[in-house]
Amino acid sequence: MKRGQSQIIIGGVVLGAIILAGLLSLIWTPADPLAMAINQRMQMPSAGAWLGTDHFGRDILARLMAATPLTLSVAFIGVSIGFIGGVPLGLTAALTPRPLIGQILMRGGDVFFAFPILIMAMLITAGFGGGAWVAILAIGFFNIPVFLRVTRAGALGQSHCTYIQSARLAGKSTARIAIEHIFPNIAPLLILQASIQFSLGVLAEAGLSYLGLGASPTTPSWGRMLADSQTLMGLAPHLAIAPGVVIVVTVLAINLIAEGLRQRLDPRQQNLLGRGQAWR
Amino acid sequence: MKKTSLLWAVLLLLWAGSAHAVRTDAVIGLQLEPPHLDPTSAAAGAIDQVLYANVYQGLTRFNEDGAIAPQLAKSWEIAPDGLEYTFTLQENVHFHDGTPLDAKAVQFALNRARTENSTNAQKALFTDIESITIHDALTLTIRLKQPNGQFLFNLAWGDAVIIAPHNVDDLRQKAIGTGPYQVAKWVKGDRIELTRHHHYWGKPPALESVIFRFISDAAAARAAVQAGAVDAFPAFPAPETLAQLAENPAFALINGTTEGETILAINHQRPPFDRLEIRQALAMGINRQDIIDGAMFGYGTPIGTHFAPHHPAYLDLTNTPPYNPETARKILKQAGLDGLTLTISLPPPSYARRGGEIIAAQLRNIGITAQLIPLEWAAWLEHVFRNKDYDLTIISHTEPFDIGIYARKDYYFGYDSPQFRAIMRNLKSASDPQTRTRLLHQAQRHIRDDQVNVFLFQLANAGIRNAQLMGLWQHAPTQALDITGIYWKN
Amino acid sequence: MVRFFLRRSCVFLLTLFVASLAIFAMVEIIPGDPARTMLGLNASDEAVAALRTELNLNQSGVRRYLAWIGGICQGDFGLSYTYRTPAITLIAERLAITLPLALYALILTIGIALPLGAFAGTREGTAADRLITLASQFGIALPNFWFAVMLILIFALNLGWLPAGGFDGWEAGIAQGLAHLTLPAIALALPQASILLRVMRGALIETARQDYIRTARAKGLSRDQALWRHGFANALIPVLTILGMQLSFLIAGAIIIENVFRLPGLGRLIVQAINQRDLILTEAIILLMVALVISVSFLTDLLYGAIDPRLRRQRP
Repeated sequence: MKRGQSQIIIGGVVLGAIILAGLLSLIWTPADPLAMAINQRMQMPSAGAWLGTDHFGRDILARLMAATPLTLSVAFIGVSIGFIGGVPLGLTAALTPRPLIGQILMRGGDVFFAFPILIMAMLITAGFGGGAWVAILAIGFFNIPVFLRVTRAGALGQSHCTYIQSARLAGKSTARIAIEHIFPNIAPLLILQASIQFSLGVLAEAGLSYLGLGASPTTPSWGRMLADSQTLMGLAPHLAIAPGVVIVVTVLAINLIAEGLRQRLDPRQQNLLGRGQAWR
Repeated sequence: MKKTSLLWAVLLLLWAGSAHAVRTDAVIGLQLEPPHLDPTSAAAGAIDQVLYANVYQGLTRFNEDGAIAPQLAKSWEIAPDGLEYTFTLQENVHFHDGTPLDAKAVQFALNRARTENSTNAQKALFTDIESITIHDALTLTIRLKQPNGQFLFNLAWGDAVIIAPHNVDDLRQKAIGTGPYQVAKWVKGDRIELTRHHHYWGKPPALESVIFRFISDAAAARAAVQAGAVDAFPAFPAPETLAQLAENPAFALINGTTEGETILAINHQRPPFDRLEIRQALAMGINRQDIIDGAMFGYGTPIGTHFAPHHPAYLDLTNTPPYNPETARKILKQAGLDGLTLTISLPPPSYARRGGEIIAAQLRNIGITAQLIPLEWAAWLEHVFRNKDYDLTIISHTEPFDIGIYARKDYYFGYDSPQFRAIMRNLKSASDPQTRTRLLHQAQRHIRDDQVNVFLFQLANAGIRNAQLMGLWQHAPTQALDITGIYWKN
Repeated sequence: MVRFFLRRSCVFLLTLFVASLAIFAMVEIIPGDPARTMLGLNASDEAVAALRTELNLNQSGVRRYLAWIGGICQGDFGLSYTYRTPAITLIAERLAITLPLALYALILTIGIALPLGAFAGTREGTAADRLITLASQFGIALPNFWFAVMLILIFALNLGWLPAGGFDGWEAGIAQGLAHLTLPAIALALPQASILLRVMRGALIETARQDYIRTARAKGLSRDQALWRHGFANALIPVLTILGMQLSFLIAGAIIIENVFRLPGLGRLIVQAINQRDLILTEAIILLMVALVISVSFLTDLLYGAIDPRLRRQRP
């Protein structure tokens, strides 16, 4: 087996199962995730409700499933925004013939990066009200400078290679070189970074909705389920354990995939993970 | 001589040692920290909770049952035309810094509250005052522009306390009042420590010091109570854990009433909520008991109008209209509003956030899709209260006796009823108790008939205390936490 | 070297200036009138207008920015709207908790990450290495707020070893202060330690492959000896880079943890400031946090420049 393949397979199977459960929830859940039954609240797991019911008597399993598409897509869209915004900027910063532009982009990225994501989400929510879009925006903004840096570093490494030099000599424009030669060559690196950012995005989404900064309260969400259950820990610990375990397993699965990708790509790229931790 | 005093000191120490079981301090938990210490320029209830009656006093005050009692005013006489109130002040009252309280200080404090550029958050309380005249150091007369049956009640508010005139510039950082306790220390973000004022004019309190600790997080509050880090937590942020905590004999439940009418406020300026039958359909679609059980874990009393159930003039209108989702659905269908989508704006307290979730689920049963918009206080005040940019909102009106807000034309629910305003006008000039009760009943019925809002429940004063700590108020007739009477049982 | 230093310093100051502009604009844009928020539900419009005048809220944004930034240049961060005390005093009070907490967490992070990372990195592929790597995966995947609640449940409520939260101030004794900070520091440190551990391990594995290690081994040193003598110094560069970033994250990131443990630190202060629309205080705190991160990256830059002259021309 190739390096890292087992990790990718295990992670892929687990993540696939979670995504499948999430997709399934769009057409079927074991119970209505929104239907309340106040007199049946905080029931322990049983045949009727496999993971028990929450503080409003809603089915926990149904809510966990129903929350999956939202959490994953918030993280995915957020990272995509960072990718789409950060990669072109990073390429520009690396390849621009004018060092001033590169400097401005890098310093701008620094300012962005220095801005604590949580505080930004709090500011937006405080002023304009919450919603999934706040989480998407916050995760997106946070990821732009991450991709800017990784792309620039990768592109700088490539720009001295001979094939780039020859393309330059052949008279190709910088933009064409960036798109036709550099991007395909650093794509694996970017995919790896994206997978790491995706797992951080899932954690960030949970953290933001835990603080009430994410999806609207009626929408099921893992982080909010944790927040809701916190005071009920003594009465009904299962309320907190189920969503906590789901978050850990999901993040673990994505990280496994990333780890496998890293080993296949380049065993020396060890430091990527550290870059993305700012949101905590 | 010296020897004997030393002996006495030793004996005293021994005695203190043997009685060591009795604590002379207590720690009270509060959800919100005051932003500053000026009770006259902010509506922040936390300021009154810490300072009202404990540090600052007014001419009159609220008792635990909500009745008005004299405080700095020993007595008063009201002229037959109801326009002149002559107050006689208590003797030997000193501010915490030793300066005496006299009629001049009272005049200064009340004039300051009513001047043109006053930042008093409850300026309306003082608008009827025409002039304040001093007779001697301890007597003064307040003249009103028109008779006001509420005037002594108005003076009992936390916004009407008497501040030390020379402290007026430092009011936000320094609290110099006349109460039995003074502020000794404020560790911002954590606690305020009160210590006894040794030259207090009235009955001295039992405890040497009382600490207010600020814990807004529900889980942290529970942990603090369980670990004994706080001795009492009257407005407990996690009602769901109260029952479990109270099983422990070391704790006792606090379960009283507050002045908080919790309502689902409706924006009358937004169609279709300008139509009575739609508002009634909303009222019929909502099961109050489910909200009390689900959001407050059973603490709270259903209400059918904007009036506190413990008030003598209360009228029970809770089942009018009765909970009836089928009829509600039918009304909406007839109005062509099947599948109506609306928003509910939610301020931070859990009654609103949890209540909102339950109401959204209940409205779903009558075919309405409700989107919830959680808002911080500042944003709620801006969007909902000021700009009236909302469909529905859940809010507890915690001011005592505030049915008068339905007479305000530009108030945030946009209700405009000349008849109701007439009732309120009559009430203001009426002093005969029977007439007042009749008018109050009329007012309660009127806003129910118009279904101005969906009246949900009266907020409970639900909390927990160390079973040995006595003398805490069970009810909260104003946003105050009078700790002047607390003591340890043994 | 001097030119390099000057150029970097200019860029640093310029970055700070841009950051201050961005922060000011961002905070001012949010809707919500500070005066209205302070006065509350039943305040009359006149009272609000009077307070707005008192707080200089009626001046134009440009004028207020200039006043603000001018004050900061003289060390004056302005008066907090709500507390009416200098913002910097409030911040200093809170830093007395947040800074020790961050340092405590940093020490834990280093204490856990470096030995375990070195242990695993020098034994790549063994069972111990796999176990440590797996544990670190869990550490990264754990949401720290959930972990914090679990810590309270186990160590404070059930076992009663450590306080469940709160802080009595340093005057209550250093031991007691540290006891209150222990669980929060663990909750903060574990995910960061997991990351640092992986960086340390990876860096060691990489240096082990380098030529000079091979040379050293060819000279007869054992693998561990070679790594001790030559490898660690090189592994420390990426570790220090990450560590520098982590310090600022530990300070900025304590918001959730401080809330869970009700520690009156900077994180709690900013939540309060934002909710009360205390613009001055909000701006001061954010500027401070942002300046900290930018300063750390500036210092790392200088450090690299000092270590490696090639980097003086262009940033890596």
